[in-house]
Amino acid sequence: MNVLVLTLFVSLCLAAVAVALFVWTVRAGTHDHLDQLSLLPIEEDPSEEEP
Amino acid sequence: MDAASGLCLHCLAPLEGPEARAHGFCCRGCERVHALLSREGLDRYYELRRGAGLPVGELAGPSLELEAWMQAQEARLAASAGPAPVALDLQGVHCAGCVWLIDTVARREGALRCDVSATRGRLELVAAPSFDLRAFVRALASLGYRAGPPLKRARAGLDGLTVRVGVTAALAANAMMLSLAIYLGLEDGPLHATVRDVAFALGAAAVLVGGGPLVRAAIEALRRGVLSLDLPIALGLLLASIASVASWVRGGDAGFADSLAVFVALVLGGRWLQERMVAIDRDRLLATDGAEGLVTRRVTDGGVEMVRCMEVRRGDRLLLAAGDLVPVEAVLEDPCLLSMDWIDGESQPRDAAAGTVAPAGSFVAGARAARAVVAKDFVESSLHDLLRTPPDRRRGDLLDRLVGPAYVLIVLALAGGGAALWLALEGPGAALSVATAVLVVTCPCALGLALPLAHERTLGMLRRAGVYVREPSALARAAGVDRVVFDKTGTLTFGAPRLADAGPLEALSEAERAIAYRLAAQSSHPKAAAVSSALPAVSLEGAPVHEQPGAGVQVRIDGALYRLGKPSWAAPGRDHGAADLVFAKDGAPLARLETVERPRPGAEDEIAKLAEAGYPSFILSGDAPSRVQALAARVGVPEERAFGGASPREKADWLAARDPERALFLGDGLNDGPAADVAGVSGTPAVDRPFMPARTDFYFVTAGLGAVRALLGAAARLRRTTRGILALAVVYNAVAVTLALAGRVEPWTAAALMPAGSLATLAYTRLSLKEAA
Repeated sequence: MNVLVLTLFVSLCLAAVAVALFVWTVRAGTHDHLDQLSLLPIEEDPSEEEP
Repeated sequence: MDAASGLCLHCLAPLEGPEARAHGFCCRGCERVHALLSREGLDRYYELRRGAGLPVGELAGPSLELEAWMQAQEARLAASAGPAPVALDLQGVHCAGCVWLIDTVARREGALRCDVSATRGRLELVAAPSFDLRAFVRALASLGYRAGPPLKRARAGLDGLTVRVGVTAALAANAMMLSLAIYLGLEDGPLHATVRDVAFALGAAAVLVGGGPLVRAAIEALRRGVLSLDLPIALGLLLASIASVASWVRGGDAGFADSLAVFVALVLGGRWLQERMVAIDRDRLLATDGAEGLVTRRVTDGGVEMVRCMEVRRGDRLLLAAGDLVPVEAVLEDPCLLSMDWIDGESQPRDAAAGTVAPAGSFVAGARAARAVVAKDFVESSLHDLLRTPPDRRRGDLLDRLVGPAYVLIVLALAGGGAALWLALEGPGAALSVATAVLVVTCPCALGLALPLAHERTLGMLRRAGVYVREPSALARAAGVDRVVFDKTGTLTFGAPRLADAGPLEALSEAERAIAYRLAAQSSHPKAAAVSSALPAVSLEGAPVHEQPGAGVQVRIDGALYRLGKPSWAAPGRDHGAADLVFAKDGAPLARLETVERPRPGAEDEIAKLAEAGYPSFILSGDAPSRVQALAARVGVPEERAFGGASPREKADWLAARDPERALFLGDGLNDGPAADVAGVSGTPAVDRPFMPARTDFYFVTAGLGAVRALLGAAARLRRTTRGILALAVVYNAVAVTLALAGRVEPWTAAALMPAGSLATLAYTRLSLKEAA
């Protein structure tokens, strides 16, 4: 029983963290730059440009 | 991809007209940008874009407003001690390919960082003081992206709604997950009590976070005296909240808290979807702050300064350069060529002599700059009136337009009647429970989500066709349209003229064609541009070309005088028939040319198809009646439906006298603003200046006129889907309300019925519109 209550508590904490991260991304404007973020994997590594 | 596919090689738009099909590009802009991307090794844009792009249209240089803003930014950047931020608004950005392209160009120009938001149409740079902002903006313009000063308003309201939707959905999902344990058999005991309390707390938090905007919307609608769908939603919300709290306080289960939380999350999600889509469409164009943002060049003792037009006073001297807007009535000190297209729809530029008054809203169409003395303060100018902030065009909410007050009345009557009946039979507790059940299980939820979803999918389909809707209720209004009224110049036609027949030029010798090209290419007159575009390009080096204002251009080669211009000037004393432009050698005509306005590709075909679909077309123009009639005959509009010589006010009055709510008006100039305000639905193809799109319901970026039929077709489909959704809701309610009125709806039944009804409605919506797509 105690384990179930603990699980419930932990899952709620995780949900709270997820909500907090979501609010942070909206405020940071991440949702407005999704196209640019999607290009990150193909961006050239600046260190490779060094001679 | 090749031209044989019938799609533009650059933007993949369907090619309209034989000329476009022969070139493989839908417009000149697409052709130039395609060539530039290949030349600069930027072809990767096409790989990253995935899907169709946007037609570029005519490439245009930076505006005077941007010039003024840029000067200030350049000075600030140069004076900064290190890297500094620069923000720009952008038009034409729509995908990851665009973002990559702009980012690449910015890095090539030396920017240290470049953040591009495709959905906002914003660009934020971090650049060193030596960064050449002007060259960067010019590079963007050559790729078809129009830059402007950062005027777009922050979407604070929408961002707030996004947070509310996300948080409400997360809380509701967790509340429902916990409640499931109770519905599936978790009985009395400490764990049951814990789960019940936590589910209630989560549900209550979701309602508190998400319910605010819904209740506020209902109160606002009541204040406006509108029977809105928000009213039963808010009432259901309040009653269910009271019932849930009462149940929980009494030690019972969490009542409706979990289903209520899901209800709020779904309705709020639908509203967010609806708001976001139109916000994205709005932000695709540059913003305008109307007369406040206009600037002009004022002559001072020491030179020329940029000033806001609002500061222009009577007696000031202005310098009007090529392409500049004349902001206020002014007496010209130099002769110049003026375009009146914006103020009266007149397609032909006029020669204005020194001493005449240049009207406010005209443009300098020639290459020569002119000085002018301002005749009245800007605030008294007619342009100031035309640029006044348009009236609120949000004519009702989309849902209310689609559903209507009858539905709201029925829901309220059912809830009230049920409550009265159960009050008489079993007392206030049962009455509250029945009224709440009716309001929660009835279809506001399904409608609140399904209709915005249908709206969003319809907007998506239109966007793929190059049509962008700016006003939420525009599609609902378009469903009631029964005729289409076109402005002429710039709407039914492209502003620039072209040769009716290039045969006389083809009959010239190669040397004469080269001379004609040199003359035409060095004139700024739109008719000369029609000649140069019909000739093969040659080098412009050689003897100097002289422009005779109001007459034409001339050059002397090997002792012979060649002229291109007005027939009476180029080859005087001869009969030139219908020709309005003559190329002559020593007064003897070599080629007599006639220029005509160029209708948009496929205009005649589109007007015929609109008529077939039951939408008769009209032309309402400020241009000369003879030219309006000539164009009407070309595009198949009956003579009695084509009207010329109308002032901006007369256009609006004409529409107002003929059931304006059922008219779709399409215009491009400031002179069309009053008519656009009156018409039930208004649109524009003029996306090069933000004034007109800012006061219309939709804009389109395609070269042809297929956008109108696309919009009307989409509106009709949306109306059909709406009726289907309502029919489903009636069936669903017949079952749900009967159960609720019979007092058979327990919290778990409501929790099951409501999502079931919503899912069925959503599935229908998706299927119904999938067929159309």
